[in-house]
Amino acid sequence: MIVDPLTLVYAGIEAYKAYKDNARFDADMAALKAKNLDAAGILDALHAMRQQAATDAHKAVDGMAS
Amino acid sequence: MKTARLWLALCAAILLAACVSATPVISGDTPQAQAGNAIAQAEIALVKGYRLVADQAAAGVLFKSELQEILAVLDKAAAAIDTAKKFYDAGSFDGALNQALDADKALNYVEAEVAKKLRDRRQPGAQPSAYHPAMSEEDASDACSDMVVRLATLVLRAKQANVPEAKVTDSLQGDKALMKGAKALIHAFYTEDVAGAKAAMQSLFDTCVDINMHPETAI
Repeated sequence: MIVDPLTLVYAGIEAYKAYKDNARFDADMAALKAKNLDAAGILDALHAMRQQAATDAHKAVDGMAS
Repeated sequence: MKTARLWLALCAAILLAACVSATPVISGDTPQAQAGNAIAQAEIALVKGYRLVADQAAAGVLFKSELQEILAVLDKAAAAIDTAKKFYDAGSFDGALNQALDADKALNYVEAEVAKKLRDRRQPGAQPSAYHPAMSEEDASDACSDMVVRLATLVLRAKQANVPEAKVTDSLQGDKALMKGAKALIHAFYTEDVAGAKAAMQSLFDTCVDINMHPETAI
């Protein structure tokens, strides 16, 4: 597979757009704020969210063909 | 593989922007609140970074090895945040803050790697010239990719600092044809006009190849 620079630039723009319009993340944060957690509770919740995201990302990449 | 540096740099710019622009999650001026907020912002940046990678794996545009490279950087930053959290839980807030800053360094490492690779790619003894005859189409295209990333990063940071678009474009210097394309691209980035950015980048890439742009003469 040959990927030209413009394709990657477009992918970067789409990624940036996805980052800006991250409705899923906004919903996660709204749910977290609704719990009225203290600082330690917020950090624990974010830590769990990040670990799940890391697991999902590794699984997605591991599942790709080399 | 070389072109993946572009996406890596964009990913880094997105993550860095997330680190510096997010509103406080944990409020307060105490060392505990500052450390807690630094950790929270880094966790948020990492969540977004990992989700981006998962989305890109599904999209199938990038090579597996390229995404693994991005994951390695995210994992390094995550390890620093894990350590920061341990310091925080133990009541060592200065240590926690320092570790959170280390996570930022891991993300900065991506940008440094991009710059290093681009430096290494230069031809020995090459003379800076906008019309360098030794530049291949691929090299001019790669140099243009680097320039686009730098312009995107410049705009991200300028917007965070509320610097007006005119001040950014006035600060640029370079080849007349390149300047025209760069200004169009900056305007598209400023207005977050995706279709405009694509058109401006296409035009800018064509110009870079037409003039055999050398990295040292890029804007």
